[in-house]
Order: sequence, then structure tokens, then C-alpha cells
Amino acid sequence: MENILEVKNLSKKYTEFELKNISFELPKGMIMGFIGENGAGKTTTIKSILNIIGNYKGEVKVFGLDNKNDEREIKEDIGVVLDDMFFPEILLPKDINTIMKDVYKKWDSDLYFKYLTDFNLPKDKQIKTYSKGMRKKLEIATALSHHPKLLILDEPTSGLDPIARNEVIDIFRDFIQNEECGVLLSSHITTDLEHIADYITFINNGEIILSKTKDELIEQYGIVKCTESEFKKIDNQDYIKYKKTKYECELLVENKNEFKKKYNVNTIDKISLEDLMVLMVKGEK
Amino acid sequence: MSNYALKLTNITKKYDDFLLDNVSFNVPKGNIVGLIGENGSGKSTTLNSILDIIERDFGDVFILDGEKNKISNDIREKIGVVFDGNNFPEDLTLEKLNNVLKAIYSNWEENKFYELLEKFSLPKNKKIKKFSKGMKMKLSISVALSHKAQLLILDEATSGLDPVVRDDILDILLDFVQEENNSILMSSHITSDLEKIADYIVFIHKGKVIFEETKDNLIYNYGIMKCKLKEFNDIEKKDIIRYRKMDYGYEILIKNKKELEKKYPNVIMDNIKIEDIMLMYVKGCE
Amino acid sequence: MKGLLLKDFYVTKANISVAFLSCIVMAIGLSIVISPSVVIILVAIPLSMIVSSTIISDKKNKWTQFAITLPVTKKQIISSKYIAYLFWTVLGMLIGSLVCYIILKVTNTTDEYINIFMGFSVIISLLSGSFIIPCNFILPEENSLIGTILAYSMTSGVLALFIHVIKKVMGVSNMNLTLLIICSISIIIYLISWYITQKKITNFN
Repeated sequence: MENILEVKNLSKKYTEFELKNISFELPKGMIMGFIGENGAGKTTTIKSILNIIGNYKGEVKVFGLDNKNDEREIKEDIGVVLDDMFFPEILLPKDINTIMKDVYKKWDSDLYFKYLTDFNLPKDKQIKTYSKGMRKKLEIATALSHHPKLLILDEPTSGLDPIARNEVIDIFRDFIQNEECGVLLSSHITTDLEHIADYITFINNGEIILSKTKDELIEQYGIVKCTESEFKKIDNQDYIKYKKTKYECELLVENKNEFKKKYNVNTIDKISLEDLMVLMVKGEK
Repeated sequence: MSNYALKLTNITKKYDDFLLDNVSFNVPKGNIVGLIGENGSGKSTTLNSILDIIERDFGDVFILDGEKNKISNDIREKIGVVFDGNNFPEDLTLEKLNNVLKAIYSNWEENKFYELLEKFSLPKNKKIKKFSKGMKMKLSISVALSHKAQLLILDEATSGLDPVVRDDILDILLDFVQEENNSILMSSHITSDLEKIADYIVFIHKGKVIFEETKDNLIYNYGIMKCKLKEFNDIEKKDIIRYRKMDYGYEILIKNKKELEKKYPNVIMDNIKIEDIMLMYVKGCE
Repeated sequence: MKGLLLKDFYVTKANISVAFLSCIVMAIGLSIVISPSVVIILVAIPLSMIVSSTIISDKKNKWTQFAITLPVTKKQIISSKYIAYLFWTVLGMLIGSLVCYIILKVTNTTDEYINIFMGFSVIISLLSGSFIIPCNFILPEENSLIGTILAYSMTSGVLALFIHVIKKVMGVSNMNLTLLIICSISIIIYLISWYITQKKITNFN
């Protein structure tokens, strides 16, 4: 089995929103960044993979096993950090250790306390006293302390300062050194994904817009800036979206090299994930 | 008439396990100042002490041509504040919130408020508790912009928002300072946002101001040199702001890229982002 | 200040429905057993309680933090709660009196306890409020709930004590006069609490 996670035609209907035929694959030893607006379907997809919400159509395979039939077995090896997850506030971090020891077969208390020390998290203070950033770090420590093979993380660095984010990203990088592991990471802080993701999957309005390696994305996609008059000469087929500002037009181009040759452009700006998202969502066709 | 929207001198506040130590910096009118620092470094304490939400032990604050250390209600009329998370009672609808704020602010601009709500697609008749995080943030910003404020103070206002919403908000903030008398002080962990719109950056670490620089200076003149031990030993101490020993050699934070490129031609010189500058200051040695 | 009062008006109104209706239903039931005028106190007290709970919900919602940045003084923030508390107590008494009146008219009876329950409403509400309002400003959430419960029980005890003292020590046997004296004392205590709280409390955390 080469793919640690396979999602095929995942669909779910709500009254005001629909997840349509979500399909993507995460190979072993890779980190996949999951990007999209709030409300685009990232959390719904993740919760479906984890079977937290049911009644969806389609197939999800984790470690080659079905996520519904083999749920118990799979969850031993998945570490999860969700955006709206919380521990009861009156607990102490050492209480969490006591609880988790009985939940996971491979729970490693020493490792858990090591993370607490590394992250500067006081063991004996109620979680109520923890700041937003500290809570996130606690969730990450918990997710990592039972030696999972797959990490599923929904906004794990939200609210963390750049230093803490750097530490957390390093930990994920270390985690993936093991070729048998994988990470699915959704984040609004696209610069983090530019640092560590191998694959990028972009979801918009319940549909997968693209799912490629980060290298391919950076190599192929680009932003072309031109004047209004130049814009009129460009063929509709050669760009994906465009945005008009007061002074110029910005075009999202899928095939940078072809475009360069066809229109005799010297340089096309390297694209950041943020620019890609903004143009995809706010641009027009 | 001062040139400053905000002038802080030696703001000091002592807690049991933390000290805000003589924090001083300025927000010149018409500018955006970004406040950066680790969690717990003192950013929120500074902002709260400016606004009198907490009492400082020592230090002077001048806001918008007001008297020293006095935030009269007149001055508060001109300050728009946006906090992270929710700012308003969740049971209210936007119409009711409008009525409440109309009765509080003498310069409340109802039309402008509704225009902004339209622009942000915020439903007037739903209770605020049904709003998503992004919607609540857009609401807070709409409120801050609807009472003729001249100074906006934002505390981690874009935390948790997706890049598209953040792009919208940054556009609006840039529009706001087009007016010469308008200024913004914003603290943020998302340094890429500050790289886009800030004019100045103030870095607070462990309760002290480490630097107050123009963004351009940070982006164009600060840099990072990468080299091995041998080259490292040849570099003059005074050129090194901070350095870190990595697996592959040394990384050195420097302030005068162009000069040092000539002075040490054999060493690799890279551009640097604000978050890397922060990292070097926090984790590097002097 | 007007804006602050308006905001509490909206919030209280939004929270009334269930609590209020169940109280009215309970009150109507009890009024048949005890006396119709018990409705007065059973409407006035919960309504005023909602106001003191807004102090806590304001803190949770971070409205208090935001309100400090508005062009209102901290004194006004505190005073608005005391005013709102009074307003909803009086409103509750009026509504309760109306319901009581309707019941009496419908059943064609009289009720000799009306004065007593009106007096109790004023006394219990104001004495409790004098204690609860500053507590809710100062204490963290869980403790204020305990404070609220304590306040109402303590107040009932204090009321009984006052009545006893006035009867025995001052020799006043007329219940109406007794209640009038205690009401005045309650109003004075409430005003003292108001004065001290808005003067002393500057830190809302």
C-alpha cells in the first residue's frame, strides 16, 4: 500500500452546502497541505475521514483499511488536532496523561511529558488557565504521544506566534522522517505550508479545485501582471482567472512556460499559495 | 497639533511573573504600525494599558492630540478597537447592535455601517451567535470604521481567518489610512500580512521593545548570512546582530545587507522575512 | 449610558422568554395555593436576576472589555447595571401586579397579602442586588453563581431578622409600617452599594 490515505468520491449534502465528489490521495512519507476558505469544506472532509460525521457517500481508506469497518483499529494510529477540539477546562495536563493511557495502546507517558517540557506547558495548572497558543500546543503534544502513523491536523498553528509555529512545523518535519508516516494538514497560514508541504490540495465550494505536488504548483502556476490593453489581446484559454485593480490586471496562469513563449513575456512572478487562493476565489473568468 | 496618533513613553506594568518594562514607541499619523512578538511577550498588555483596560504602574500615553494620560470620552469617540474573537453580545442582531452603538457614539454613521455590512454580506437579522469567526471579525471592523475613528487598534484581529478574508480586510485597512489623519496600530502573528501593509514594525520580546523599524528597512536592509565556522570567525562582532549555529553552519542576522555584501563577498547573503528576523532574535545569540 | 441600557434591554428581552414564561406559569399555579399576589415576587425576582447575570455574560462575551473602549466611563458601565436592575424589578412588580389583579377579578376574590408581597419584592430584590451586582463585577464566573444563590437566601434571612427586630425592639406591630421601614432601609443600602461600587471598582478583570 503506497497511499496512507485515499479519499474517493466523498460526497455529503447539507441544506446550505454540499461536498461534491472529493477525491485525493496522500502517499506515505508525505505532508499534504489542505487549503480553502472558511466554509469551503475542509472541516467537513476531515470529519468525514475520521467518521465524526456520518451519512456521507464515497470511500475512505486509511492504511489501506476502510475507515468505517476498521474504525477502531485505524484510530489507534491516527493523531488528531481539530479546530474546535477542547479538553475539559478543570483538568490538568497530567490528568490527560492518566486518561489517555487507558485509551491508546501505544500511549507513551514519557514522550508526552517530554513534549510538555519542550513546549513550556505547566503540568500542574488547570487547562482553564492556558492561553490559546498553549492549548494548541497541548493538543499537538497529545496527538503525537501515542506514536501515530497518520496525523490529521485542522488549523494546528492557528493563534500561535511565529516562533511557536516554527517549533511545531519542525516537529511535523521530524515526524515525517519516518517513511511509513503521513500528515494531512489544513491551514490558513499558507506560508507554513510553503515550508513543509509536499502536496497541496485546494478545496473551494465543496469541490477539489486542484491536488498537486507543491513543486509542480510553484513551477507551473504564475501570476502575470499587465495593462488593460495588453489584457484584451490575451486569449481566454490561456489564463484561469483574472482580477482588475485600479492600475493593472492580474492573471492566474496555469502553464507559465507556455504563456511566456506565446506572449513573449520575460518574467512571470513566482506564485505564493496565498495569491493562488485569492485569485482563484476572488478572480473572474 | 501633534504628528503622532499615539505616543508611548516608558509604559511599565508589573505582574507576579511578568514585567512590561519601559515600552516606548510611536504611531505617526497616516501610518500603519505592526506590533509583533511571541505569545506572552506583552503585546496585549501594552494595548490594554493604552486603552485603560488595565492600569499601568508607570508611563505616559498621548493619544490623538488629547491630554497626557487622559483618555476622555471625546478621544474614545475617535478610537476604533477590534479584539480577537467576539466583541459583542451574541443575542443581538445587527439592527439592534446599530441602535445600541447609535446611542453610544455621537458620530455614529448608520448609513456607512449598513453599507459595510452589505459589502461584507453580513445578514442584518440574524443573531450574532450564528455568525462564523470570519463574519464576526468583519462585523467588528465594520463597527470600528463607522464612527469617524481616526485611530484603529487591532489586537490579533486576523487570527484564524482564511487568506481570502484577510485579503479583503487588508484592503480595507489600506483604504482607511489613505486619509492622512487616520492611523492603525495592529498586533499580529501573521507577519506576511504586516509585510503587505505595515509602514513600521515594533518588536516586543519579554516585555521590552527590541526594535522599532520601518518595514522597508527590515525587508531591504536586514538580511541573513550563511557560512561555515571558518568564515564565521572572520566576521567582525559589530556586524553580527544575532547568530545561530545550525547543522550545516552558521546563520547570522545582519542589518546592512548592501554594505556587508561587499565586505564579505564570499559569504552567502539572503533576503529575510519578518518572521525569520523574530526567530533570530528569540533563538539566536549575540 | 443610554446605549448601555439599550443593550441590556435587548439582551434581557432575548433571555426572558423561557425563564419568564415558566415563572408566570409557576406563579399562577402557586397563586391558587397560596395567594395571587405571590406572582408579584415571582416575576420581579427572576427578571432582576437576568440583569445581574448579564454582568457575567458581558465578561464572557468580552463585551465589558470592548465597552471600556467606548466613549462611556467605567462608572457609567457600573451604573447602567444598577439602573437596569431597578428598572426590571419595578417592571416585574408591575407585570406581577397586573396578573394578580386579573386573577383576583376573574376569581372575584380579594387578597390581603398584596402589600406584603410587594414589600418583599422590593426588599429581597434590592438587598440581594446590593450584594450580587458588585460580586458579579469582581468575582470570576463560577463564584458569582454561588454568590447569587447565597445572596437570595441570606436576604430572606436578613428580612426575617429585620421584621423580628422592628417588632420586638421598636415595638412596631403594624406589618405595613414595618415593611415600609425595611423597604426604606433596603433602598438606602442599594444606593450605598451603587455609590461604593462605581467609586471603587476600576478593574473589571
